[in-house]
Parts: sequence; C-alpha cells; structure tokens
Amino acid sequence: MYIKITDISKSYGTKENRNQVLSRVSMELEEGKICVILGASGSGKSTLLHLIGALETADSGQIQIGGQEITKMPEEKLSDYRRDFLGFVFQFYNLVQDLTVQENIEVCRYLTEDSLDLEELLRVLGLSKHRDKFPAQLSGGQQQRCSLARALVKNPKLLLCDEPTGALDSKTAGELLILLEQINQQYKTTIFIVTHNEEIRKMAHKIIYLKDGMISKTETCEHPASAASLCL
Amino acid sequence: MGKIFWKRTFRELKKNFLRYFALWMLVILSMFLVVGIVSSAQSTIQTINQTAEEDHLEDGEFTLAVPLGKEAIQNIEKMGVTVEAVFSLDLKQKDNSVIRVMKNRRSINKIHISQGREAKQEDEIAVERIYAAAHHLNPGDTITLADKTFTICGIGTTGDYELCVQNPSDAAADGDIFGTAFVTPEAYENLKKSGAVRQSEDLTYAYHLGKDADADEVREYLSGRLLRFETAENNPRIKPANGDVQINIRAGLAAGVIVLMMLAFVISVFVVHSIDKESSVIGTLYAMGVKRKELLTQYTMLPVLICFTGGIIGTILGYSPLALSFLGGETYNYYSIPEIEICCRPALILYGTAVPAVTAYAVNWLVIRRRLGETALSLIRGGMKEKVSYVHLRTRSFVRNFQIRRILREKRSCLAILAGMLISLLVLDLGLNCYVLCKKIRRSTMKDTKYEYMYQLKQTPDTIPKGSEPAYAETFSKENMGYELNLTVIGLKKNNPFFPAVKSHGKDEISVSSSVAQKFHLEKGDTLTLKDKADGENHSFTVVEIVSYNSGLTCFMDIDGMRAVCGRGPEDYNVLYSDHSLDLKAGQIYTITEKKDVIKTGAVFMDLMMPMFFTMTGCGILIFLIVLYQMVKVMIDRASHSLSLMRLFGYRDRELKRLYLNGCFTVTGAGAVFMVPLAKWIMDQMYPSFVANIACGLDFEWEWQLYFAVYMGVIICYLIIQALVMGKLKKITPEEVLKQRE
Repeated sequence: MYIKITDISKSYGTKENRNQVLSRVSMELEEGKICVILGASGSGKSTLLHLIGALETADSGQIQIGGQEITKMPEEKLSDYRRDFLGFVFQFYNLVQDLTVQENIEVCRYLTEDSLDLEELLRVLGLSKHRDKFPAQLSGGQQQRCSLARALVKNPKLLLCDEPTGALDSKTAGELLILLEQINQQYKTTIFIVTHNEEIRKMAHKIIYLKDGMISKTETCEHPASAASLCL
Repeated sequence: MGKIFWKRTFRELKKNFLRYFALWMLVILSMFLVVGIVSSAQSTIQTINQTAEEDHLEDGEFTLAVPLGKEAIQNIEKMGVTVEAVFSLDLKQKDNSVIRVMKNRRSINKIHISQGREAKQEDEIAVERIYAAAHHLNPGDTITLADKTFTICGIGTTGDYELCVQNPSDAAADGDIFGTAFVTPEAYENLKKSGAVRQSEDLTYAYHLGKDADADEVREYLSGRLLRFETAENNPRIKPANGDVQINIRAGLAAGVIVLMMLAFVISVFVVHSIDKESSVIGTLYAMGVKRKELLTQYTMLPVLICFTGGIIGTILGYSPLALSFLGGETYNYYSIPEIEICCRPALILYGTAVPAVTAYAVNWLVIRRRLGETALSLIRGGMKEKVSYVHLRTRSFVRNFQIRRILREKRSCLAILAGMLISLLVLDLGLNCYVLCKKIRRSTMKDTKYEYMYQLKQTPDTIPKGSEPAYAETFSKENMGYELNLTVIGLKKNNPFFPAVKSHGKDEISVSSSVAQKFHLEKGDTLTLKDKADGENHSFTVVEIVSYNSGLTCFMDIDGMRAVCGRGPEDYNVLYSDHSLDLKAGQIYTITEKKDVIKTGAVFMDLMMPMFFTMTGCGILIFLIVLYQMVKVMIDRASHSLSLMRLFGYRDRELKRLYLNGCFTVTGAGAVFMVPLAKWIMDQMYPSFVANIACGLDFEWEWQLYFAVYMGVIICYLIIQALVMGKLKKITPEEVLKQRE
C-alpha cells in the first residue's frame, strides 16, 4: 500500500488561541515498509498518525492511501477505510476491560471475512494460555500483545502504532518490536511507528523527524537493523 | 472554592441537560401522581366531613308504611332524638329520567347550595347537582313536573343522597336517569295531589341522635311498622365517597413508597455513574486538601437541587385543580358532593417537597462516602477503571458474548430498567384493571339483565299481572374489608325467564352469582352469612351452586325458601319482573326500574373511570420512558470509550447498535415477559381492596390480547428510547478514544 502525504497542515483552536500542530508536511512511503516518526512531545507526530488513520481531519493538504484520497472522504467511507485497511496499536492498549483476551481480538476479527487464524495469532504472540484472561489480569506487555493481536487479526494493510512501547519495560518493548518486525516481513504489512525512542529508528526503512509541526529531516535505510539487535 | 463549584455544577447541568431534565421530569411526575392522589382524597374527605357538619347530616333514617303521628314523634324526641320527615315523590320526566321531589329541609340533611338559592316560591325548585349537570340545567332554566313549570332557583347537594341512587341497593348512580329536587312545602303538597306521581309517596324520616340517645331504642320503638331502618354508617347513599377515597389514600401512600424506592434506585445508578466518571477528579481534589464535606456538598448539590425543585413542582401540581380534576374528578363527577376545596396537609407537603431531595442526598452521600473511603492515590489511579465481572462464557458467538458482557457490566442499570418497568406496569395495570372491570360490568349488565321492567311493590295487586313474573327480593348486607356491602337476594319461582335457573331449595340453601362468589371468595359448600338490614339479624345459608350472573351483587333462592327466611306467607311477593310495562296503581309501586336504566348505570363506571384510566396509563408510560431513557443513556455514556474505540476500528452504527443496544433490548423484551404477568399478579392481589366498597364482582381478568398489547407497549417504548439514544451513539467519534486514556 503506497502512502503519499502532500502539504498536510493541522491546527487546533481559533484566532489567538490557535495552535499550529502540523505545517505543510509531505512524505511518501512504499508498501510493506516500516516508517518511524520521531520527535519531542508536541512536535505533531501523534497528530500525523491520527490524520493517516482518519481519526482527525486535516485543515489542508492531501493524504492518499493506496491511491484513495482520504482527506475528503465522508465519515461513512472513512469508517470503511479504517475497517478494511487499518490496524491500531496504542500506548495505553485501549482494551475493552470486560472482554477476555480472545474476545478483545474477536472485536476486530468480526469486521472481516478474511481474518488471520486466531489460534495461530495467539500462538505467535504468546497469548494462547492467556486467552480467557481479562485485561486487568495481564501484565502491561501481555496487554500490548493483545492489543497488537487485535490490530492484526483482520490482516490490515496498514498498521499504525502510537508509542507502542511507551508503557512497557525495555525487555517487553524489545519483544513487541520483534513481533512487529515479524509481522512486517510475514504479511508485508506497512507499519507506522510513532515514538520518541530514537533506538527504534534503526529497524525502520524510513525515519521522519518532526520538530514544531514540520519535518526537520528524513532518512531512508535499505537494510534496517533487526529488532532483536536494538538496545532499548 | 464555592464559586468554582457552582460554576462547575452549572456546566455539568448544561452538558447533561437532557439527562437531568429527564430526572427532573421523573421526580415531578412521581410526586404529582402520589401527592395528587393523596391530596385529592384528603380534600374530598375534608370537604364531605365539613359539609356534613354544616348541613347537619342525619345519624340515620327509617321508612314507614304510614306516617308517624304527633304523639309518636314526641315519644321519639323524648329519647333525645330529633326527627324530620324527608318524604318524597318520584316523578318521571319526558326523557324517562326520574326526579325525586322533596320538601326543603329544615334542620337535618340541609341542602348545600352551590349555585343560586333554595326554593322560596311555589314555582321554584332547587335541583341536585349531578342531575342538573347531566341535563344541562342551570339556575333560571325551567323544568316541568306533573304539568307544572318550575324555575330552577338553585343547584345543590344533600348528604343523604351523596350516592344519588333511586334504591339503596342500586349498584351505581347516574345523573342521566335519577336525581333529587327540593321545593317549598306548598309546592310539594300540590305535586302530591296532582295524580302524576307514578309511585306512592315514600315516607322516610331522618333522625339526629342527641347526647346519650340510642338508635336501637328508636328501632325498637318503631318495630312493627318499620319498612326500613338504616343508620348513616350502613346507608350506602351516605358518605360512600369517603370510603372510596380512603382507599385512594392507602393506594397513594403505597405508590409513594414504591415510587421512592424506584427514585432512589434510579438516582443511585445515576450517581454511581457520575461519581465513577469523576473519581480521579475527586481523588485529586481530596489529595489537594479539599474536605469530605466540601466534596459531598459539591457532588450532591445538583441531584439534590433537581430533586428538590422537581419535588416542589410535583407537589404544587399535585395540589392543583388539574390534579383534582384528573385524579379526584371521578369522585366529584360521580358522587353528589359540593365542590371540593383543596386542603393542604403539612405531612404530604413535606413528603412531596423534601423526600425526593433527602433521598437524592442520602444516595449521593452513601456513594461518595464509600468512594472517599479509598485513598486519594487509588482514586486518582482508578479514575477510569470499572468493575469487571470475571465470568467465562461458553457461547461461541462473538456478538452474543459481547451482548452478555454488556448486560453483566450494566447489571445495575438493567435492574433499574426492570424495577422501573415493574413500577410503571403497576401504575398502568391499576388503570387497566379499572378499565377491564368497568368494561366487564357494562357487558355483563347488558347480558344478564333480561327483564324490561322491575317493579318493587308496596302492595301486591289482586292478581299477578299477565306476562309478569313475581319474586320475593330483599336487601341484605355483608361486610367486605371493613365496608358494609348491600346484596340483593331474590327468591325466584321455577322456570323464571329473567334469571338463571337455580338449584337452591328451602330456607337454608342459596345460589350465589359469580360476582358475589368473586367478591367474597365463595365456593360451593361454603356458608354465607348475611345481615338483614331491617332487623339486624344474621342469616346463614349454604352455597349450593355458583351461577353465571354478574350484574351487581345478587344471590338467588327458591321463592318459598326466601319467603320463609323473611317470615312471609306462601303467596307473598314484593317484586314483579316483566318484559313489558305493567298497568299498576301508583300506590302499589315502591320503585320502577327499567332495563335501559340498569344498562346505563352499568356504563356509568366506564365514563367515570376514563380520566383515571388515562392519567394512570399516561403516567405509567411516561415513568417507564424516563427510567428507560436514563438507564440506557447511562449504559451508553459508560460505554462511550469502548464505543469510540469500536468506531475507530470501523464499526458501523448498525453493528454498534447490535453490540451495545440489542442486549438491553433482550433484557427489556425478556424482562417484560416476566414483568407483565408479575405486575398483573401483584396488582390483582391489591386491586380487590381498592374496590372493596363497590358493589360489583371482581372479574378483571385480561384477555390475552391485552397482555400482548401491554407487552408490545413495552417494546415500543424501548424502540422509542433506542431511537433517541441512537442519536447520541451516532455522535460518538473515534477521536474520543484519544481523549479518554486509561
């Protein structure tokens, strides 16, 4: 899935309270690649991810995903877009507290007829023995793996990860990144990872540095390092 | 701090206006219903008792075959008893209605004039209020009696005809067919002489007991010449409304307790949700040194204010003429009583205004106190955490699982929906039982009244008129839940064409009608004891059968058995039934009752009960809609984070409805399957006491269609609320998940 972002701007508030979060940001990403967006707090990296995920609407500019222009899509179409193409992983997991691990994953499996094999996914993510547990009964890492399984079960073409390791210890964070790498390689899933952890950039094909809502630097890497080699 | 709290309270109100408005409406409606029912009843009792005192209501009355002589009156007066003749003449009008004309009263049962004045001239007449209203008569209009034109000089009521029926045993009053009127003594004598009088003059005396006087002494003195002796307490015409509305007070207070429990439950769900949502804020404020008392004030302020203002408005509405006309209107329209003056009782005002607010405060206090029992840190951390029920489900369907989880999570709201449903159904069933009972009374009166004319005789004619059927009938009384009810026992000849064939034989056997069997829980083989109203003696009978007959409270015997019970001769009879008008002399007839009048009285309940039926139905539906809205809205609010998440994943409205609302629909639908018959069963247990003093059966069984209609009503209510809540659900956007982080 080819992603093309052109002159995207986004601000919050009006008049004197106006806060320009993104200013004329443009970038491209080829299908099946990993892109890491880096930047300090308030640099606009999460906003950029939300715009790609159609969670927010841009003030101006265009976002093309697989040839479809999403910035002008009506809400119903956007819902279909998220349903058919996207998977989300959040820093705070956002699991439904009164559903078990398996049921949380089924929330997204229900949305597609072409889902990945649930058993296989549970096994790959090491959740088989936790399938009947509730989120409150899991560790942070297990919860994030559940969140990842939920995002992956519908076999999305684009996976958006907002600070996926932000709430994890370094060991668990490393395990999660290895999983993301495996998924990218196995399913050719395009992955965006928003983080402020510079080490994660090493596993990316493309690194976008954001500063005060603008791209300050872009790097590409033909052969990124393996996730297992990262020193988190 | 106080100013900030006020601001915050105002913002909270603005933000959740519809929810608070619904709670406000629920309090208003509940208090209107409870205060309205109770205050109407209290006002009615107060007005009747006050009027009785002012107008010197009789202590009793007796009817004689011949008037009392001067000496006899003096003898009675020596017993410390005041006596006044209240003789009457029944005059038939062109529209077949009967006006019972009496002389102006002097000292007992004085006319309470509501419009105009008493008759002073020979051509003037004061007419009873219900009759005047039914015939659109006003002061200044004229009516013709015995070819003489009278000008209506006043409209009024008398305490001895509060239930304005022609015969004390009549089941219902109807201004269309019977009323009283009062003229000067001269006009009365002229009417008596006119020859237009259909029946002989009724020679009834009203008495007032002085200090230490005894009614039994009077009865004893008069025995031998007595046709009827009735104390005011046992007279169905006197103060029957008090008994009726006394039941309303009990029903209203019971409703008040139930409504309060429901309010407390709804408020608790409401408050728990608000406090859970605010728990991190509470924790933060607590950590910063804000005191418990201040927090309590802050968080209880809005619900308490809502309940307090709602209670005040509900109480004002409950005391308004509107409530009196809707909830007490049928009493005023049915009984011949003066205009009801609203009386305010401090206890009821306190209940209506303070209790909802106190309930809201108490529930809030308990919830917040429990929350503040936790440490500030746990409150801050646990701000968004919700209790989860760790139940493992075996079903393989994701959707089914999800719906069950929603129900488990929202069990408190689901319970509130079921409680609200039960209470609303109880209110609704009260109205529906009224409706069904009245409808069945009307239907059975039409079906069971087979004669065209019933003549109650003073003297029997020389020969039984051709085509008529003689019978011997007497009115007895029986106590039911503290009320003396009149029962008519008819002694029938074999093969009587107007009544069902009866098996009973002799003076100890009785056949009871189905209405009597229902009212007094009688079965074949039981003993029925009835009190003779004339001599106060008790008679016991064995119930040999229950015959299908539902018009009034009637029992049947064979005529010889009945004659034996009443000590009459083998050829005696006192009633003639006929399918055509009989040529009898006026002096022979005590009263004439026509089939159409009987049918009309059967229908009168229906007309009277309609405002009550509509009020109860309307209130029941509104209470259910409000509770349902509150609870479903709470469920959706509590699920807003996961709903937002679902939207983010790409779920569509239809799918969200299926996951989040269909479970609630199942609870409502399945709950209604149990609640509709349960509420009906509960109401059926209570309802006989509400109609304990009404001379009718207790057949308020519903047809299956009515159960189905009520069930469908519940479902329609749910669908209305679902449509409303879907509007809110559609507004939940995926971005909200980004704002609400664990």
